[in-house]
Amino acid sequence: MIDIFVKNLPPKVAVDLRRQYESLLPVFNSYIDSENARYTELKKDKDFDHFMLALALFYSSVVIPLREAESCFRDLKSHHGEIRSIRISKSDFSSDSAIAIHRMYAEMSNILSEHRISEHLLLFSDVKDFARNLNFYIKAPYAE
Amino acid sequence: MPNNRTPFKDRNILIRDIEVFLQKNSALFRVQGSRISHFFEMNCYNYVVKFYENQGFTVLPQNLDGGIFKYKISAAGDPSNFSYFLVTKQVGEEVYEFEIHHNLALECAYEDEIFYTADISVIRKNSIERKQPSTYSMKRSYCKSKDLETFFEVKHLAPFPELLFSFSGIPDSFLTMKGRADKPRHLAPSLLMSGRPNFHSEKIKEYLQKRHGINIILNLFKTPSAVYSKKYPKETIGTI
Repeated sequence: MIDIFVKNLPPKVAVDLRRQYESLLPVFNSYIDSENARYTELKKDKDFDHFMLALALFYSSVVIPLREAESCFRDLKSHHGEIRSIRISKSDFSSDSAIAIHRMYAEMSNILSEHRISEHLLLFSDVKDFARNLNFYIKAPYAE
Repeated sequence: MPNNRTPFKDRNILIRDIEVFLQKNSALFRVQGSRISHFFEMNCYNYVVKFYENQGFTVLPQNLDGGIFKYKISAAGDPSNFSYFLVTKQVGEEVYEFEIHHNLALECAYEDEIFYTADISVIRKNSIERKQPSTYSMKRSYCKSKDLETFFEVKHLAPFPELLFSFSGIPDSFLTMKGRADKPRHLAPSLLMSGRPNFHSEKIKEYLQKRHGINIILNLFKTPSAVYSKKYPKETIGTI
């Protein structure tokens, strides 16, 4: 499930993300397979559970840092007019980079909002917390 | 048969929406993705600058390269080739001037030529020294403990016990606490982390803050203002 998320990432980031996913998966599966009633809903579609774990990791490791970079750039420019762009390593982060990230984040927020996925679910503190919240999310009544 | 519906949509639609999103933004992820690990550190640097702004300091970027603010994102390199912020405040008759640097080496308070590179450090103006220590083959720039006001360690990780405990030992060796004036105040040495704490990390954080007079500020993606806003109480230290 992690493959679709890592295929367009630079190698180092892709390896880190895959490693995170693979290290959490056995623990996550142990919650899915447990007899505890808190995780009953997770048994219904394990592939979807894995997809959601991969989405959560991608969101916290890629989307959020990019969003923060954009907001930090905007903040710097608004407070210090003399700063035209910022340089990280050898490449510049300009207004164009900020606009592209802003658009990407708006698209992601739109998808999450349409599917009623809260940021709280994706930014989890540990797998147990994620498993419990995902179970609660899947169990929530269908609104339409 | 699994129920394909997530609470308000079909889960297959969600998967398709995400696939389209990933494809559409693939170039952005390829280009900006390589800098992700630096972005969080860069943000934390700006949060620290914002803390001084909120404390009434005048904040000025220094050493810009034709309008470009150059972040020093690794321990390598001469700080004079990078940008930093100068913060200034008048308290009574005295004008205080500090520099906020990124990845600057700090010398141990008790032993010469032992260095640690803090992710962010606040030092007295014009206090960076450059010399070739006997144990090194090249010159290096650093700040002596007597000129170090405070420092910050940044981790783009979820908090875990070993990391929280390991940070608590650093201030003892690198920060001079004796003879500090009461004002102006700086944030005490702080560990800044992106991850959300669980109950156990929260408990360790409370314990370490109380025991060592440091700050452990977690979940910064959710509440970045925890670093700079007066709304969140934090440990502070006076000026050296």
